[in-house]
Amino acid sequence: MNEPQFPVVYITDELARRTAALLDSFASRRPSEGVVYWFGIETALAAVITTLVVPDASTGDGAVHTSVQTNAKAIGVVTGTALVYIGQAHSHPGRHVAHSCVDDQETFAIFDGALSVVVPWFGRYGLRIDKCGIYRHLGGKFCRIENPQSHFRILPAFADLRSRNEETFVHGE
Amino acid sequence: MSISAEVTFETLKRELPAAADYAAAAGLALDDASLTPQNLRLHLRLINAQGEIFHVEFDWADYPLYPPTVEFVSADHGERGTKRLYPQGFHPTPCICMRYNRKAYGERGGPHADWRLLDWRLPTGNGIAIDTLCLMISDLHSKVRQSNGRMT
Repeated sequence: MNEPQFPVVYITDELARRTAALLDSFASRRPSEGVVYWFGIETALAAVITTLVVPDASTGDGAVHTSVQTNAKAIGVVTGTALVYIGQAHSHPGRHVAHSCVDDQETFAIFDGALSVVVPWFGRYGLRIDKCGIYRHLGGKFCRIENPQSHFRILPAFADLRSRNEETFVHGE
Repeated sequence: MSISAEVTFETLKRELPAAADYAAAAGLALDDASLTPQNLRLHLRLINAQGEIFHVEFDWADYPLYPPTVEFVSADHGERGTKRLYPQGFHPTPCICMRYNRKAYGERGGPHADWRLLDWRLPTGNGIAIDTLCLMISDLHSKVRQSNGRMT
C-alpha cells in the first residue's frame, strides 16, 4: 500500500530566518534548545506556514519541555481562525540534527503529516534545509526525509526587481 | 580610527553580567579579574567532548567599533595562536573564523578577504548577529563542546 501523500510545506525565507532567531533566543541566557510551532493554511497540494508561535516552554535543563497547558495556550492563538498546526522546529546545540527518542515521542501534536525540523547550532546560523534534520510523521512514526524538496521548501518573501537597483535581490532556496 | 579604552571598558561592564550568567549556567570559567581600561582582556576556559581544557583570550581594544581579537592561548596566557592550543574543527590557519573575531578578517591577515571589519555585526548566513560577549561565549562553547581532540 502506498503511503498517503501529504502536502509540501512552504515557508518564506523571512519566516525561516525569524524561526531561527527565535530558536536562538532560547539560548541567550544558558545553553538551551528551543522550539517554535508552525501554523498556517493547508490544502491538499500545499501547506503554507503563516504564523510562528513560541510556547512558554520549560528549558531549565537545556532541553525543551512543554506542558499540556502551555500547548493549549499555543493552540489558542489560532483558535477560531483558518490556521492549523503544520509542524514545529526545534534546535540542537551542535551540528547533529537527528531526532532523539524524546523528540520522537514527546514532540507536540503527533499526527501523520506533521513536520518536524531540527535546526543545528541553536538556530544561530539560520535555517538551511541542507543543514537541518527534516522529519515527517508518516505511517505512525517520525521518519527522516531524504528528499526534503518533496516535503519542505523555502520561498522568497519578496523580490525587488526594479532596474534602478544595482542588485536584484531574490531570496529563498 | 580608534575607541578610547574607557569607552570600551564601560561597554564591557554593561555586557559582563549577562555573559557571567551564561558562563555560570554553562559551567564555564570566565575570568574578568584583571579587566581594566589599561588591560582590556578577558579569559574563558572551555572543555571539549573528551574533557580537554582550552583557554580563550578576548582582546577588546577598539570594541565595539571593531570586534575583539579572539584567540586560543595557553593556560598561563604566555603562548597564543598555535595549532596545539586549538580544538579540532576550527580554521586550520589556525583561526576562529567568525565575524566576531578580528583575526578572521583579510585586512588583519585572516582568511576572510570578503568580510569588512566595519560590518562585523552582520549575521552569519541567514542567522543572527553574534555581537555581544554573551553570544560569543555561547558560540564558542557550542563548538568546543562538540569538538574532539586538538588541531595537532
